[in-house]
Amino acid sequence: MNKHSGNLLKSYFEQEINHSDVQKAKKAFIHKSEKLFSEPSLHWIPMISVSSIAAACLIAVVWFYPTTFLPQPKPEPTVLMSSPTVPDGSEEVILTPDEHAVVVKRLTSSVGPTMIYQKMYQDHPLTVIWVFSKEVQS
Amino acid sequence: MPIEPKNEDPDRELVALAKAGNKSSFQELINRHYQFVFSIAFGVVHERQTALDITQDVFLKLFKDLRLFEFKSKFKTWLYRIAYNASIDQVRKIKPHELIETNDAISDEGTKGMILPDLSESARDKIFNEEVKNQIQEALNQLSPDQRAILVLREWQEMSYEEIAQILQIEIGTVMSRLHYARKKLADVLKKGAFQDYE
Repeated sequence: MNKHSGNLLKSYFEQEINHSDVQKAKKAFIHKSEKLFSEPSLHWIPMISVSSIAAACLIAVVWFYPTTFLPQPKPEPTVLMSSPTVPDGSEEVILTPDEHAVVVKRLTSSVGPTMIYQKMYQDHPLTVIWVFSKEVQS
Repeated sequence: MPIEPKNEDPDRELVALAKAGNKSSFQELINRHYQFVFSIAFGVVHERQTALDITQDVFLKLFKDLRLFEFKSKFKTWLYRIAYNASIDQVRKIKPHELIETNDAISDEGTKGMILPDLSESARDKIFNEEVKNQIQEALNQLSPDQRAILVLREWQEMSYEEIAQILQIEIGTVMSRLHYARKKLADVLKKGAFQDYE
């Protein structure tokens, strides 16, 4: 492209850019820009991003979500089992491995009188339970 | 990208005032840069009304995002980059055949009512008539939006390669090669048409 065609191209752009439509649009837009400043605009205040608002809402929901709305585990069906019960007023005995003495404790049970006998823990880490029937007791 | 000295920006004071919410400063910025923004949009889309719409959108975006401008580059460079990106986005939205149809419509309508400025002072202006104008339009239509944008920035706005590279965010070498290709293609098209009479 020589200088001549370059000048023609420049003239073409000049005509288009200085066209009356462009001048009119420019004036109209400057006039219209008055409204941008007259309207209360959120553009000039510090912007809180949408994502940060969403994150705050999520945290609030998780934090305050009532536990009653959460799915509760179904209770296990109860199985009736016999278990030794300590009679009222008796002192509970805690057996520890360091104790060398033999401890015997009388207990009652739903299946009859019981006695718990425990030897030294290191030698016999088992609890042996005898159950005496009423016939034997009598 | 080299950062230009802050004190060389002629818009610095106006921009600072506009950022603070000064209406008249913002309007002066529009007044100063409206046609430059339009020229970039026109260069890319090559259609007047669409370019005017883009120009308006660019200044609305400027109003919204001016507070983000931190004087790391010249205001003009920053604004023109917004204009270029908005124009390219618009081109992607418009299907090619729609753009060509619109161009034809504008071309017919535009040349009838167009008032040519007084061009008597130079020889190049004397020979500029509608026939040549149509020829140039046709030639420009055969260029890509990028090539047209570079031609506008270089041939009409007479920007340096560095400035163009900053606006388009490409390397200077790419600017030079695209410009070379655009000029060559334009010359080839013009040589085939009515323009050859003026060579």
